[in-house]
Amino acid sequence: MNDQRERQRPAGPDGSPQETDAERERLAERRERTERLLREAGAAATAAVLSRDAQAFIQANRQRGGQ
Amino acid sequence: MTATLMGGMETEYSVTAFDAKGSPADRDACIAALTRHVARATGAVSAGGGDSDWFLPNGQRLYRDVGDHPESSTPECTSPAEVICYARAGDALVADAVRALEAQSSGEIVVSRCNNGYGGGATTWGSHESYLLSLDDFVGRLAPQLLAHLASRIVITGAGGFNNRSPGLRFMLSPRVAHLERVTSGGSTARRPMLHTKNEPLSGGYNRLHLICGESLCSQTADYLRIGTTALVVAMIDAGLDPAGRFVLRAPLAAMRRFAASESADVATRSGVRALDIQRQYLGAARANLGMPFMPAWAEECCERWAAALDALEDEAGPPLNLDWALKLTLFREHAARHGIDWRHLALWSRVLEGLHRVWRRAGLPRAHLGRSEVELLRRRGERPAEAVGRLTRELADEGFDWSQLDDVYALRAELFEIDTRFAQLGERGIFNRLDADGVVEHRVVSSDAVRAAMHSPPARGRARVRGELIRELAGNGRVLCSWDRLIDLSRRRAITLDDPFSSERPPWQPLR
Repeated sequence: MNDQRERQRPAGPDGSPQETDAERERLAERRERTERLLREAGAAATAAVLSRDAQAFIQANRQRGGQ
Repeated sequence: MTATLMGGMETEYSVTAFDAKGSPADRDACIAALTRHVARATGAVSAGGGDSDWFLPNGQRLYRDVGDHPESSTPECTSPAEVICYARAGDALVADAVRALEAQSSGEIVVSRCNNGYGGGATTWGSHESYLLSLDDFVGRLAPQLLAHLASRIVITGAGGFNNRSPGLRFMLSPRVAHLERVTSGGSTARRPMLHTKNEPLSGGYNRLHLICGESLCSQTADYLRIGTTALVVAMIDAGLDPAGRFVLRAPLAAMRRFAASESADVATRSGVRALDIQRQYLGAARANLGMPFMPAWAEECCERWAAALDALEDEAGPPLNLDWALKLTLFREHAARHGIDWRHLALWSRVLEGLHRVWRRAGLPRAHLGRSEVELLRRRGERPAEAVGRLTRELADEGFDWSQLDDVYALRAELFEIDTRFAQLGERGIFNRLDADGVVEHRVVSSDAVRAAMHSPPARGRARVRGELIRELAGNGRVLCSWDRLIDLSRRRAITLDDPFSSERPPWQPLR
């Protein structure tokens, strides 16, 4: 936010500076990379923890709950 | 009105225990052992509720709450980052206890901050929030200005998960909302409201707002914004402002239900009011008041994080992958695809399963798991059930499905429910914690070192500091009782009253009468 160009960008209705095309492109690439990593890591994480019998697991998890 | 947040967060934990053979173990004994272990490990003092209610030397409370689940309350904190720090410190203390007990028993203990129970009974857990304010007119003054924020903030602060009141697989941004029944009420286990009207007047003219509509979150970013944005909105209302602007909702619970039932942040009320536009209104109001005496020192940082989250939610590429609901939705879709089931088809299966349950109930049959044999039973049950099942069968056939796939859908349903529960599991086996360890989620607001320090040290300011220091001094004395505003040393028949939440000064001991 200290960048001069950031301060010169037009502001949105809540006062936020509007994104430039280059920023949008960079964010889209970053998001795509993060999503790919998440899918890969998520598949490994779920495979590592899922019970052999998920139905039995959720039945064992039956509780009264909170407030 | 106060320029300093003095509030905190409660976390309700679900506990499932298995013995060494994988059979369900005694949950009650496990909860008692967990709380006792934390108490011994930290040098806690009794809060008067037997061996399941403790105040810890870091100023927080760990106890068995209504519903027989363990619950952790942070001490009174002065910034959203501090709240997150102490909430995670509470999680870490419980996770350490789980590790120690598992090492002794060879069984498995799953302690989760999942907000949904999927074992039947439409169980919900929550994460309550407390905010200090001067205003005491919660219904007439606070509610109209705050409700639109509570309804719309779930595009950021929703935990994600499934509606456990549905026999299908209905993803919700905020599954807790399926358990809210009122706009305002004083109930907490029945007639749960958006805005809890329980008020606990404190000294100095302060009141405590207690919100119970929120959910436990894994993302520190989402949790920071839950506490920070709400504290700013409360501060503005407390200062006499109207931050909701033109977004005072006529039907706030209906709006919240619509937002919660979505799979996207781009969601609007029936009359076309977008949740994101409501959030922009509140953000704009907060920014316009930065630097005002009633705004806290961390307000600017909070507004920057708030704006970044809203910008990311507007991104056409998809929701930001540092919010709980967005992370879960990605994992759930991926898991369904691995089962060979397209996520889009789950809406059809949900409609069909909900229809099947309706037919079953109307036929006067007792509650049961509805599999293929029950479908056949309904076909033979008479003209009307048979016709209704026929309609559902055609609905499936139109999309290329039939009842033979029902078992696959149920298997996927159970696995997605377990993934939701395991996502928020404490400790290194939790799915979110694994993703965090892999560096996949950019969500951190506080460092691991700060959380470790908060496990044993109280906040630097306020009565929580005094409470924590006194507990440390008196630990080991079995005759001490502690509450949020009082500490009683029974062995020396003296007490200290901590009635000013902001005071870091230790008041003198008073003889116990």
